[in-house]
Amino acid sequence: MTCYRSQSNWHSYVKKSLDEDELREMTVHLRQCSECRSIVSDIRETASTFVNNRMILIPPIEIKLNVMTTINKDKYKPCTNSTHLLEMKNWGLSLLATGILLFALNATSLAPHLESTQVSDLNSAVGKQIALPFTKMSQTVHAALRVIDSLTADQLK
Amino acid sequence: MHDDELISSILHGHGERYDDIVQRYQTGLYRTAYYYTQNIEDARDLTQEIFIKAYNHLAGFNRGSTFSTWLYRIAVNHCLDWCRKKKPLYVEATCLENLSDEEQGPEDLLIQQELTSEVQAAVASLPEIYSTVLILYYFEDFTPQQIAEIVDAPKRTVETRLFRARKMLKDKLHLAPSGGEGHDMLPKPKQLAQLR
Repeated sequence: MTCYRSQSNWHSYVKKSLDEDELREMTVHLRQCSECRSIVSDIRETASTFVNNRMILIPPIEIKLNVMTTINKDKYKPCTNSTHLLEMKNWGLSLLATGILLFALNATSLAPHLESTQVSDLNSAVGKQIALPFTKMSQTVHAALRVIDSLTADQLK
Repeated sequence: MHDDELISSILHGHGERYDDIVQRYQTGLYRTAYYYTQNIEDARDLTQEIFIKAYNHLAGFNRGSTFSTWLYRIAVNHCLDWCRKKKPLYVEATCLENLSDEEQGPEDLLIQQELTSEVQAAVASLPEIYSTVLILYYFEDFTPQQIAEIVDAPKRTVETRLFRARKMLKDKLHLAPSGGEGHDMLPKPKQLAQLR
């Protein structure tokens, strides 16, 4: 091989898979170079021989059947909105529950230095605080009932 | 429907559309697998595995590239893995019914079959890097640029491999002892003469 282009992209040239400038340049070169013309001619002849000797194999029908029964057709199905929201809700609730649990655990870890009487005092104080609104509500209801009773007694008289 | 549209549809949850992809590529992939395995049972199994593998990795397909190149990349790698793990137990002659040229008579068909088997055996006997580029360029009609993407090598390397592979194939076909002493005297069809 003497031509500097004998190892060029001649296989790409035969398939016309080069840009226009390169194709044009190589075509011009081919007109002048018998060595490269012979290479291109060889590639074309080989391609033609291979096409003629290409096996015409008919793929068995079970290929498609087996593939389609094996693959998970729902693999790429997107999550529906309601499912997604439900998932988010569950995550939110789980996080909230975890937060409360951690808070409770931290609160108990503060307790060891307290005396047992102090703990019971603390408990009763907390109990009183919780009961306070209910006591007030109960007093209001009793007062209202007394007023209603007196009004009904007046009407009867 | 274009490949990209089909892929997009499958990735949006229409898995049943993969049927069209299989239909479109099964002949080429089956033939490619056959060149590596040299028998139809293994070629069938490999083709199925390639399609299943491709489906399971479809989300990783880069839409900017060509689907056929991506699919053949999986196919070639899968076939090469198979070759490394398992050598073929026997080389199977291509069945007559697989050559479906109805214009030819039985004698022509036999000669054609012999030629096909000879070329096929010569291609299969080359080192993998050379047989792969030959199969992809001459049988599956890929350009050197596409082959470079499939085999993950520079285009220049593919061109060089194609040159060398062709030379090696010529040598193989020159030396192939398929007809005994009088082999050279047998009338050879023009196609084989072109290769030699």
